[in-house]
Amino acid sequence: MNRTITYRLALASLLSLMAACTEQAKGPDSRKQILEKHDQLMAKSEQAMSIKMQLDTIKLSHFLTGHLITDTLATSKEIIRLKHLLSEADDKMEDWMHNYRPDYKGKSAEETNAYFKKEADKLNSLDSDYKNAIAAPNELFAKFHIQTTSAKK
Amino acid sequence: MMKRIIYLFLIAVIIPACKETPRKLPIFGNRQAVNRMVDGKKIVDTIYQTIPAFSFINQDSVTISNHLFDGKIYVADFFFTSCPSICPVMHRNLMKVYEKFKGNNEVMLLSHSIDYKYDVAHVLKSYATKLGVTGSQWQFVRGPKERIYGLAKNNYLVSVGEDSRAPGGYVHQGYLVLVDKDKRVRGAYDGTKAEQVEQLMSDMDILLTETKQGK
Repeated sequence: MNRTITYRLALASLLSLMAACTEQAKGPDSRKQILEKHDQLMAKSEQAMSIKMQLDTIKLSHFLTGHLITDTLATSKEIIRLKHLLSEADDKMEDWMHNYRPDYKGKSAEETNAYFKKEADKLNSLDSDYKNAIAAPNELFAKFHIQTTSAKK
Repeated sequence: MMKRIIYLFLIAVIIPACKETPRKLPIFGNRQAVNRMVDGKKIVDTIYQTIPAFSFINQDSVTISNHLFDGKIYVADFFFTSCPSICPVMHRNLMKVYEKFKGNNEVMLLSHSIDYKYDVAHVLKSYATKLGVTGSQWQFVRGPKERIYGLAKNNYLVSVGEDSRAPGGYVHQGYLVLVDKDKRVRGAYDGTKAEQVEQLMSDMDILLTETKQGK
């Protein structure tokens, strides 16, 4: 009788351990998902860089000739602001990449999970920073009839 | 007699046909037809897109320029040292290329970092050392992001843009770009796939032979 209970307890422990492991692997903030998110953000970083270059072309092709610009100072300030937004998102991304530890192991499984959850949250926040910075110049581009650089689908 | 003639004819036709003609690598990028006068005759020449002049700081804190690659074929790529996903696989594969052509003074490798903020010279140096790279055949360089991205998108990755099924941009997709001695792009290979890196090595052999034969 005692032996049966011991076996059952051992089996139950084994099953819960397996479930915990599976949960950890399938967890929403697993390392694989972080890497996928990172690669998506790298594409956004590339898009941000192209937009920055496009903002520079406004200076060169429209600004110098005075084409379509009535308030040159305001336009110049706006271009600087938009480029700053893009650079800021990029800076944060570089900081994240530099500080991220893909091989992180905490003292416990909870601690490790908490670390990757925190990193996933940082990437989500970066994602919205990029989205905002990439969308911000649309109005200016529309004004100058410039087609925006979009990420490839 | 007639039979003998037929046999001889077949031999004469079949043997040259079986002889394998060496594969020629395509030339990517924009091209422009220009008229030239040679010995009083007008001929149409083609001018191909080439990698423009550049200068960057390398892993030894030395400024290097496009002239370092004069008269050589080279493989270019884009990476950053803290990259957790694509770059480690790509550079592990590129090590095979390095090992194969190590000491060949007609071949170089050029890795551009896209992380200007953190990939300073000593970081690039320790990355190269950790990878097992010595000497100057494999250059790891850094430069302002705008310049690196400009070169990547407008010059090195000209053959990739249209074909790539990548969900986003393509600078960070692990491409290895083969450039010939005239600084023209001759191929782009997915550096994360071992079979494509094998193809790259075989194409490098073709390119070396091609330049020896005078194109």
